[in-house]
Amino acid sequence: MKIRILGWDYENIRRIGKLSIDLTRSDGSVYENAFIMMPNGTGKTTTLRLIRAILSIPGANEWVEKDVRSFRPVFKEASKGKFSLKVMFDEDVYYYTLHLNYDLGEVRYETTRVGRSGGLEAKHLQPMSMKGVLTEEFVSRFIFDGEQAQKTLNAGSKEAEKAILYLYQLDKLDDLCKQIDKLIGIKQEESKNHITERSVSGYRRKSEKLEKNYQALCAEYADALSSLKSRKQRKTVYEQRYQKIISKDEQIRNEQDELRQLQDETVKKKLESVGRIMSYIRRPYNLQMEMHIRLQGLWQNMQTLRLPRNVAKEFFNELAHSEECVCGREIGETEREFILKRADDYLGQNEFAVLNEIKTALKEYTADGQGLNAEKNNLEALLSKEQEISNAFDRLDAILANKGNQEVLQVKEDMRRLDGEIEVLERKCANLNSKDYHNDKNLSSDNNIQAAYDKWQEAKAVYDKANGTFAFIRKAERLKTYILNVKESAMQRLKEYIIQETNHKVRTIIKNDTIKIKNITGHLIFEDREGLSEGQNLAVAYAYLGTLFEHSQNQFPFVVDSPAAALDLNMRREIAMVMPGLFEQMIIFVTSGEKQGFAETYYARSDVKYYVIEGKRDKAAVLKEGLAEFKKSR
Amino acid sequence: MSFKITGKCRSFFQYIYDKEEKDGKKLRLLFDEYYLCLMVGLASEMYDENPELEASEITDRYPEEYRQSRDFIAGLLIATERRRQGIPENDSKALERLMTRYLDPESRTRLSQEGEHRLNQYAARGIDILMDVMGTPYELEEFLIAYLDCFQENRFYIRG
Amino acid sequence: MNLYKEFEDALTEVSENAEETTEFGGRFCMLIKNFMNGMSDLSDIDDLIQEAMIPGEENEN
Repeated sequence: MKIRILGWDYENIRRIGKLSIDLTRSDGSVYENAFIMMPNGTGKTTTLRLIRAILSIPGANEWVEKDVRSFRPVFKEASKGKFSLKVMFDEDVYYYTLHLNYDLGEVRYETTRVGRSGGLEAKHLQPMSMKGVLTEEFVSRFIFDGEQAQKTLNAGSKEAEKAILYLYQLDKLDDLCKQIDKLIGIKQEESKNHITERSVSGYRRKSEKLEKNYQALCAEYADALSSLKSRKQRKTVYEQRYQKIISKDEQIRNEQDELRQLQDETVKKKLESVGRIMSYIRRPYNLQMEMHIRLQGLWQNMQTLRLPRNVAKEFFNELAHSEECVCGREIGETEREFILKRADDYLGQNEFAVLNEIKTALKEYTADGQGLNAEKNNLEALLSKEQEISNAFDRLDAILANKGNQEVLQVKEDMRRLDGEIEVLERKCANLNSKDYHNDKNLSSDNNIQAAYDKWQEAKAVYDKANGTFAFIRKAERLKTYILNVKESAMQRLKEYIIQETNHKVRTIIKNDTIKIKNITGHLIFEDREGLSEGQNLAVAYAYLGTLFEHSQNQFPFVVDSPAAALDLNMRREIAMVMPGLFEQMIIFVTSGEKQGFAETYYARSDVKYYVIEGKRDKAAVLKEGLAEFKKSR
Repeated sequence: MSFKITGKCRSFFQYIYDKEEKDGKKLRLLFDEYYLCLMVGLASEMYDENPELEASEITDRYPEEYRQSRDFIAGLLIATERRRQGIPENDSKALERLMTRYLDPESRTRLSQEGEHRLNQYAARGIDILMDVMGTPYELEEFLIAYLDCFQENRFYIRG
Repeated sequence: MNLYKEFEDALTEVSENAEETTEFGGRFCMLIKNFMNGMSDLSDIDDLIQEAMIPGEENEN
């Protein structure tokens, strides 16, 4: 992108009333050089400040009232002022106006893109391709005040390196790193914890420990199932063996068959008895005499008190909406509220019906506590019978043993033992395998597989999330390293080129001395010397800047204030000769003192525009144009 | 509101409860567990003020097996509360107020929300007493015998 | 849009020497160029980060 300044206009700015500077020729082309002579105090610094504000973002949008009012005219009263700048971006012309309201302390932009439809826009517009490029840092590297050049070389300043950083936009790579930091911040925020390597290790250890616990319980369950299976199988084997032993003795076998039949009947009766007992229990009056007494007491009470009383709630509700009470008294608002409140104490029709049903039920039931007791005794007897049958089975075994078959007792004993073990294992399996551990306080991740699994998964989720975040952070830092490596490498390459080219330019400017830049570390480091004279400083500075500008992808004008004031005459001439070659467009603000040796070197050239702006302190400055006026002016 | 139990109740009865049970060897209804605890609580005339009830109800109506008992359960609640609150026998207004408080003819259980909640509180207290007096049961028939013996022997702190 | 020579060279040098996949190198260069040309998207940066190797695991592939 090629940027040229075509001119500017003042209206009510400091010592200037209304003036226009035009840097174009009649054919529309732009003068490559322009000298604007302005005595000190006329507005050189002001002009540079305004040009910078227009070319850069955010520019004047950050100005406060004090900044705006600093441009107020000194020679007359003015509530408003204006500064317009005409700029060419490649072939597009942008006409910017900065409107200053001194009374309100406000400033606003207007932009017209000449030749485009749409006309005037109340905004500060820039070409799309310059988006993000024309920052204040960047612009102040080509809209220069004299001190800036000095800084380029000062040992205490990093200006030389900064100029490369901003003019070649390597600072954008720092912005990219900031975006990455922003992403890291978002991920940390999402994880809700500050993730470090240590915390991630902690989460992982916890997750692994819980996983081992879960696996151990699964193994325990598998073992228990396997043990259970083998015990049941062994029990079957024992039962078969027992039956085989028994079957050898016909008498015993027959007795056993009878016992078995009796056993089945007893179990059946037992279950029937349990069913009947539950039916009794479900009638509370059967459960205990006390319950029966309580219910009967209630019935008696209801009877004595004639409860439920006749329906009253509806009566009171109706009464409340009458004008007169049954006693003849008037019913006002207060009385109405009271009646309605008290109506709730009385039964409504439906409640009456329910209470009557309850009363009837209480009256008509017959407690049968004795029946329940009898059934309980029956159940006890049946359990006894069950035990007797079991004993009878044992006795048969004993008989068999007495007949010489000791094995049968042993088998029975083993079966009993196995029964016990099976019961324990079944309970263990039930505990391990239960899915309903939430409702059982005896179950936890120590003895229940589901609980152990859920706990492990919870911890794993925490670890995965933390680890994911941590991995992300490490990768993000890695990316930042690559980006900074690009910045460093590009900077190094640029420095190499710029040093070489600047040294070449310096050789043509400074002929009576050997000055060579060795390195750029913040500021310029010279070979074989610590410092230069003031004049040499400036010469090298401009050569350096010229190299920077020349090599850049964008071409921009070099606007400078008093570039040669500190130089001696010879040096001035040398600089003056070289400078046009350094910059595509130069706009130089000078005082009359800089004509000699510097400006006069340009008189013979045809590519220079001359202006003089001067005036008395209490009057508006006057504009004079042309070389003759320039030469004449003091 | 409806009927709610505590987690303790489930774990106490876990070995003698099976909702799939068809032969009668185990309790088939959760309401049976609730009712057994409720009777103990009512007998003791004490309820749990802050029971740790489960969030979901076990049922919002009486199961078929208990349909005939609902008037007696309501009556027992009113009778127990009357005694607990010390309402004199001749105070018909207070008794009537108590009845309107706990009954709701529109409700499936015929009890108001307050009535149901009070029953739940009695049942919650009942399981605490059961756990205190009896060990975890493993056989239904043995449990029932022991349960009835405890009632007979006033071991559930029955007040006369 | 191409950037100036020194930048292009630096970018090539870093992406070739990075211990990452070839795809990563290509995407890295695109991201930087886009950013320098004023195009910035957090989700693109996020994607590229996810593509990067975790330091220390470069030799696993």
